[in-house]
Amino acid sequence: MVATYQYVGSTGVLWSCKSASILRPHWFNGCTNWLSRRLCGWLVGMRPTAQDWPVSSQGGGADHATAYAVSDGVQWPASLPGGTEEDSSVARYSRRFVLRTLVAALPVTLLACGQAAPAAAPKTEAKPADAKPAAPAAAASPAGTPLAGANIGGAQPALSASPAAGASPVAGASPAAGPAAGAATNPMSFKAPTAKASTPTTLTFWQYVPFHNDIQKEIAAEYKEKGDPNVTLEITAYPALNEQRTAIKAAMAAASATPDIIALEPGADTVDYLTNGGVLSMNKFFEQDKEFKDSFWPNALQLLTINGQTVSVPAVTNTVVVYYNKKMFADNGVQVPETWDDMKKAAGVFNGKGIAPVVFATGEDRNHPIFPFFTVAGGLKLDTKMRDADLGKLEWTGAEMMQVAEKTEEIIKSDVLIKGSLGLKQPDAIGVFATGKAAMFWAGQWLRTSIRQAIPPDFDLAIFPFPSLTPGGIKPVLSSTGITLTVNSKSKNPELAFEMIRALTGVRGKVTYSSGLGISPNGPVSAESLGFQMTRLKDPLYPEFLKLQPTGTSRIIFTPQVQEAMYQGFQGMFTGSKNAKAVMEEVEAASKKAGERKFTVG
Amino acid sequence: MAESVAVRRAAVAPAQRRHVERTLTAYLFVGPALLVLLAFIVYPAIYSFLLSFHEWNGFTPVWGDFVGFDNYTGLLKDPIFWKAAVNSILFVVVRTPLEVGIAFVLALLLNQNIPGRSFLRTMFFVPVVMSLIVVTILFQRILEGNVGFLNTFLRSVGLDALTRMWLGDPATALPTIILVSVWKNVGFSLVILLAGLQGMPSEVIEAARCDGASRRQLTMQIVVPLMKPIIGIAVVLSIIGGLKVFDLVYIMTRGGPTYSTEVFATMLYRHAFDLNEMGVASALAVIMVLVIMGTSRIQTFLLRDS
Repeated sequence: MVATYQYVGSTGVLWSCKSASILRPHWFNGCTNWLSRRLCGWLVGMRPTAQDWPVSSQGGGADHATAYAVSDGVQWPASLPGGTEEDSSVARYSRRFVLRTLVAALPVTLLACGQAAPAAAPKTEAKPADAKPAAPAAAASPAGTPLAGANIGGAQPALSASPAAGASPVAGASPAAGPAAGAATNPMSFKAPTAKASTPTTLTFWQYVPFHNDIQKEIAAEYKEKGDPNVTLEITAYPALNEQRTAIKAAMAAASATPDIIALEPGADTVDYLTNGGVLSMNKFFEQDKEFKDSFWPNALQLLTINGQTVSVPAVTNTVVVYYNKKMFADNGVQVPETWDDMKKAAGVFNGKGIAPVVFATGEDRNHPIFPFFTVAGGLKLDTKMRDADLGKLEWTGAEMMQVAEKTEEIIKSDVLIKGSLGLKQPDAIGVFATGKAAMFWAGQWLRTSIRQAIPPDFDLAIFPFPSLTPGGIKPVLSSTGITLTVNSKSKNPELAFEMIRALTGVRGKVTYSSGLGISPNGPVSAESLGFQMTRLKDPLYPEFLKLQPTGTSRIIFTPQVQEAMYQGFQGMFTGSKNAKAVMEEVEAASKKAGERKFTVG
Repeated sequence: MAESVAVRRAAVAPAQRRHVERTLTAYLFVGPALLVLLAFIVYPAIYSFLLSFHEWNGFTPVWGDFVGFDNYTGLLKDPIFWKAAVNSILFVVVRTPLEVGIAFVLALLLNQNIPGRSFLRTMFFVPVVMSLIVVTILFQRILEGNVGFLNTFLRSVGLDALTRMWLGDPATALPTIILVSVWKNVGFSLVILLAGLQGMPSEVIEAARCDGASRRQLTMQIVVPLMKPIIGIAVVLSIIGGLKVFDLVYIMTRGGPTYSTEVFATMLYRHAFDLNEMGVASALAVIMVLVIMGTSRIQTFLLRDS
């Protein structure tokens, strides 16, 4: 028998002879094979090597060997106890090695299952919650920019004071920033809660935006310290909306008192959560505190009002804009485009240089493929019509929506957007933009921090609104409320939960909240507050976003079936397989299938 | 007579008792496992089956109306269901032969005494134990059309014509995902097959060698037939895995673009959590179970034949 360093029975004598031609030092064999020999040998029940466990044809180790050896590859003793000639037939061994193979595969299977389980929780990319749709509100925004459309947010009253003097290069106005310049603390006074806990109480809060976690904790800690020492907020931050929504649905189906506070996306979920009795209406609380209600943008609240009930209150508002590389623009002699035609010309220049004009993360989620459509709807002032169509009051295949769809098709099929954007998610898109492979990045305010982190220090980052689609038309900016907060109808402490929501989103809370994230507040704030926010954020882009907020128009769809059809349809438009008409017909079919909507918005 | 019966009874009773005791002990031992099985497999399965005949949006503590077979007929009329079915089948039909075929070739190679065998074996197994999220993010970066490694590489060697928007193009999205899936799972089949090869009775091979079999004959006529049951197991596991694939597809493309990668599981998820149609989702789950069970039955039948 030849001593080899291979598994016994794997290849047999003849092959072992061959292996002798491969000369390797003994220690090498020992090192590389020791572990697998021991492990596999033990697992499969094979003897480690023929050497280690010599089998003689008579007695000796034979007894022992029989118990383990499937085949030793060398000799098979004919007179093993309990064995006959027939037993050593191929059939018997093949049966046995099937069994052993299964045993060997079992731990692997378990291992695979174990690691597959957590992975099964689908990760939709840590998408900032704010990436969600917003809505229209026919009401004129407080700052008096009466858009015909359905916008979200409004002008910050003292924005022109350029709060953090010096921090903002766009000192468009009064350099006399006055008292605004950089308060170190939140200038809004803390308001004591009207309802307090009599015993130590933990409020649970399930949200879907991990990056909001820190600022929420900060506000809750302040509330505990100054407001109600008995109340502790326990935040569960799900990685993304889908996971949180699944958990919330399970809680509602079980009529669970947990969580007390629910983060909720504007749109279809507000309808579902309210009409199924899952959450409390904010109306009652608004009656108790008028000031609280008035601290929000009315148009944002309108978006969250279903069947006359305000379902939730927004934590922030945000915008979708075009980020651009200022230096690259200057180097190529390109101006910030004012109109869509300018944009196409700029794209021509960049394409000629091998630079993608606009990178866009179409593959990010269910909303991104529809963003161009929403943008055009806003730009053509047809966003309220879009709401009508969403609610089944207007045909998607009618003249208005077809006009929007055709313009959308023009944008999507132009060479302005980067090719293959359906395969791009936000992190990829940031990479493309930060490495100078694209001149512009059409994306949300929620990415500001991530972009800042990704770009080199000398990268001159700036933003502009999407160019107007018609000469002299408005420059469409998409807007949304980001996450909104509400109270579980089964909560044991609804009053306390409401107090916590007020602390998070109220007059003082909203200033702290958006200063922690650099995302626009959910309502107007004072110049002093902006000054405080700028001292904390130190990003000159922040006030720029605030300036664009008043023109922001809706990107919310309330009917899930319509949203799904739009999502699929516009993906088809991106791949070139569908034209405007085909997409709108599909959306209309889905809208018809959804039947008459049993809810009203606003 | 009566006495003798009594005597016999007395004699039998302890034996019976012993039997009962033994059975009881056995049940006690399997009890906990049985409870877990009932709570986490049997109950949800029945629940889901019943739910498939109802309407339910998932929010309310009670189910909605009983709708009979509406959920099923609705699905069968839905073109996307058929698209998902075709994709699921394509996924299996393409992936399984590739996966098991490559794994078998690798297993044959690794079964030989080549240098660095242990190292290679580990390397092939690494993707299996790697977290799926890591794998998908890795491949998303590699396959990204503009700056991704693959296209950048192709362009740098002058193969611009071969570049594709791998995951963004309906024509290439499904094949791409299948290849990633093969890469991820080949190590798993490899381990099964390798274990089989190593447990193979070598005297048969020796005998064949003595009879002058060439290496090709040896592989095709001795090793492959002997390995049939093992290959069968690898194939069955791969098919089942392929039919219920979810995570990979969901993370990489969410079933898109335009349903080009929609499979049963992603469709199920979409109905359950995006469209709030739990009843339809349950109906789909039942159909999936039937399909998987049917496939396994066919497999077992074919295997028995061999």
